[in-house]
Amino acid sequence: MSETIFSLRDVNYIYDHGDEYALREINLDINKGEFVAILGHNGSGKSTLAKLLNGLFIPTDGTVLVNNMDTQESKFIWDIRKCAGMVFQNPDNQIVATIVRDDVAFGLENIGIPTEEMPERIDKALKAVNMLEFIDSAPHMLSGGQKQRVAIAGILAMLPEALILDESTAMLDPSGRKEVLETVKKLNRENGITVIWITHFMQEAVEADRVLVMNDGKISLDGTPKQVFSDGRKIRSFGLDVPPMARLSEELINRGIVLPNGILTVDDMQREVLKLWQSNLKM
Amino acid sequence: MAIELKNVTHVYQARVEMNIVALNNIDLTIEDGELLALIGHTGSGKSTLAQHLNGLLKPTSGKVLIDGEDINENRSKYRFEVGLVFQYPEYQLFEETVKKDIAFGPKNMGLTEDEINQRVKSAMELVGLNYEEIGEKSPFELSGGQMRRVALAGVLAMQPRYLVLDEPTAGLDPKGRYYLLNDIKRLHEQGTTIVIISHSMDDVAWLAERIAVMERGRIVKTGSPKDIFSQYSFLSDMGLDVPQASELSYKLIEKGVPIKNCFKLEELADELQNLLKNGGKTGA
Repeated sequence: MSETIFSLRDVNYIYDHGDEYALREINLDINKGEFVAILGHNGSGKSTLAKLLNGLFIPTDGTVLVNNMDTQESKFIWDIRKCAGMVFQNPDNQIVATIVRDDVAFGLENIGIPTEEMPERIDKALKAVNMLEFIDSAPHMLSGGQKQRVAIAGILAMLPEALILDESTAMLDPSGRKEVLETVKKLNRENGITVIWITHFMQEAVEADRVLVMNDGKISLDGTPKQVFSDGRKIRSFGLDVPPMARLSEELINRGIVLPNGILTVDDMQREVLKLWQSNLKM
Repeated sequence: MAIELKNVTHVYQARVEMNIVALNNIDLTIEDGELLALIGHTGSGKSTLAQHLNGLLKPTSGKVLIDGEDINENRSKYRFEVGLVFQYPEYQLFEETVKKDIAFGPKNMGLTEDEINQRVKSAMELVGLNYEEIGEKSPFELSGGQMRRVALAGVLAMQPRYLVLDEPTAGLDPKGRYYLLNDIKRLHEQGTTIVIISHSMDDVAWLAERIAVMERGRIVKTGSPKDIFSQYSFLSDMGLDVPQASELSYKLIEKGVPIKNCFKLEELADELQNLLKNGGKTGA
């Protein structure tokens, strides 16, 4: 049995100024160590959900437990934030200091870590995101991907159990996106950190253990990438799309070519095409 | 006619001791009516080049010509000829209503009230925004994709002959992206010359007629999407993405599979169908 880290029961959320439900009847358990991607069009409730996960928002109804701590109870709030840190979209809005080292230290100061403990934590965190060599650099000289990795280090220094990334690659170029995704995958794989990855890039969701699709404030699909992307029509009805290779596979199946379900990557497709082609040659 | 860049070099002087050559001797002609994509990784000079096309930046040396005339010698004449849509243009929305925001440019052109209204209406139509429904709304009530289209309409209302778009789909969800790409395609079909800067090779594959690849302030290659995207190792060595269809066809060809290099999924589907017809049960 795996342990749950996030547990949401009958959660509704209504923004202060409105009367519409941003989230409705959310029931969700996320296990420790899972890599969960959340997809959904603008306004589907993804970011609202993310902000409920570390107590930035408190549910209008229902409960959100983080490591069994109820986000409703203000005495837990710092422990919850330490447990689940959040990285946002714009790299330039998250940097607070003029030197990378100080930026990573900022969170530690906030949670009252003794000064003598800081250097080790900062070094370790920067090393984990492969940014140690930039410890004395000025953040504004870094690329977008590097800035996001510094933001991640700032959270890692607080020794969290989970990272919540809210479209953290949206403003990056392809190499920056790859950098950040690889960093987070490694933290998940090697350090067992739970990852909540919110994205508009279908291709990134392919890398997750589990994909949630949000629509109209509800969780409409919940499964492995293969399961979720197996029904292109359904995905498109939510204003999303399937990854390019899944689209190609749909197209080929429509043309009467026999392919297995769940082709999502170039490597999958290459393997299947080679198999078919070679068995063709033998006949 | 055309926009011509002749030996354009641009040096940023961030500090006296630090000269950054952002553009290095660029020669490029953008033909009337074409849709050109500029690709290259961050810092390669794409945005700097774009800002030369309407005189926002002046070349340190070299010339930018429109219809044979140097735009930097008559800036006010060409300011409205080339519409530049920046990255994340919705951050520049500022008016109380969508209508007013779109009207801002035409107002500056000194048009009459009637003309301005007409232009606002048709610009909104061009980007698929309903004038009656959202014209009086605050732009800040809209979704990200809609805000981006309001910003685009604001540029279109000036009725530029040339439209330069810097990362127009960055940060949009798939639907917003789809609408915007369709807007761009439609504008192009109606005769606007378009230069698009994009990191999304799928967008480029879908839209572009010609591609210029930039690296370190130079244009290192130009060609049709077919030419450029068939050079898989060249692009990936430069750290650029390649459309997945190109990557797959490249990898299959490497394994000896007799197909043509395709950069569009539909084309690749045709090739593969041809290769594997009858479900792989009989030889092709």
